[in-house]
Amino acid sequence: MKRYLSNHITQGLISFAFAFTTLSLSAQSPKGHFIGVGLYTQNLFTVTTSNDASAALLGDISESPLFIWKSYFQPFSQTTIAPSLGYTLLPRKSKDGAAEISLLTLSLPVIHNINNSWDWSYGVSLLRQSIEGAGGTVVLNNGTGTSTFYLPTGTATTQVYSVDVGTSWHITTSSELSFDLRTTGILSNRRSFFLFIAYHYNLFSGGF
Amino acid sequence: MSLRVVFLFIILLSLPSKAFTVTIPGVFGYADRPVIIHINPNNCPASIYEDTNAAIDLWNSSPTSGLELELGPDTTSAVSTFKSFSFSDSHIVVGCSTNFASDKGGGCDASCLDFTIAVGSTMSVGSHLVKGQVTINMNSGAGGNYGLRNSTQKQIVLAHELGHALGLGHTDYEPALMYFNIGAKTALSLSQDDIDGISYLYARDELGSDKPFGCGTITTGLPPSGWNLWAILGLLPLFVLFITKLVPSKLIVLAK
Repeated sequence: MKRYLSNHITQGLISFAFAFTTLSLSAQSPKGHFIGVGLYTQNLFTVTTSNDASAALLGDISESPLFIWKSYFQPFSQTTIAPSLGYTLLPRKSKDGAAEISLLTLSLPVIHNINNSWDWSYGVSLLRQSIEGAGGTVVLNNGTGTSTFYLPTGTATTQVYSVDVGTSWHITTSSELSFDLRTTGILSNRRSFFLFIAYHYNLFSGGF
Repeated sequence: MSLRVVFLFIILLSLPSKAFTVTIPGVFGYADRPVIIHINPNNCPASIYEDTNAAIDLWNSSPTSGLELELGPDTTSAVSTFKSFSFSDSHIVVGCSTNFASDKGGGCDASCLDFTIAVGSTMSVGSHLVKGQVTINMNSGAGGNYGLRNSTQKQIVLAHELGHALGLGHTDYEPALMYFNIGAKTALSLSQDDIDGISYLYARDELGSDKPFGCGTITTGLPPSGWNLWAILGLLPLFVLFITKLVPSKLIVLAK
């Protein structure tokens, strides 16, 4: 219980710090603040989703959609950055509901304008994944009979950095679609690619 | 209006997940890093080192896990000591048994000998694992004999049993490495369920004790290997060129 609370308090603090920082810089924001929804597809080319264990080109798409807050601002005249915070409002659950997996992402991309409709970006992100389990047992096949196995209990939190490159398409002045390729463990054999697709809507411009 | 409804629906959507399990409740993996694996090569096929290394590389590639597996020096500990964890080696031992019915532990009849290729287990002290073992079926004439499998199947079996020695239990998600039956599998790979499980037991913390960007801990090959990496790096400029020079005008018209 203590770990569970600690985990949520930490995530709450990160969220608060992010919102406070971006709102305090809003006077310098050239495009304003966006809310959005994003989908992750994880571990491209390596993870399997089929019974024959062959690798899936687009990885695993079981991660729940993320709610996103994104703010543009210009700390220097030629540089636009757009920090964003993503969080799975409803964590994905195991079939028996014994485990919940939530994801929090904090991104800091530098934005470069290509033309009126397209930007490209590069930057770093922090991916914070929490796996929380309520415990319990389950009886599963072991090949020659059945065995009792244990469901996860308590919370385990993983925090990894990723190096990102992406592009955004400004559908209208108030909405945009972004595609990011995020690479975790880039300097090791843990290197893994995540594709992040997100739709953002300008919170204060009105109209979809 | 319709877009707004879709938008809200997607936010509230929660996708079903898989269901990994662990072998010992309330225990979070080995406390030490790296976790060392010792092989007793007696009675094993010559491929045992290659198979073990492939299994090690697979588990080490898990992107959100802090697990570090490493092949250590061979052990002379008898396979008969594995099931009771009475060997003196630290961490995990791997060995081959020609008397699998006895060495497996828990009883193993003729049917078991025909269907069980290997067995893996682990033991804990306090909140951490301290020892693990993998016993491979090399019983002459048994259908479950490890030596009868092809190279990929051997590596899948070893990786699966190492998963048990690392603390993971079975799952009911069929694509997972930790599914009980390898019969349908033709490749050595992890599913998201396996990655979730190993990340739960060995969480990686690059804000804490682990080095950022995966740096400095693993020295073996770099997956995704070869063409996957170069394809991404090579196609990226083409993709940017495509969207900036060819697509915008048509897409903008469609969008508006």
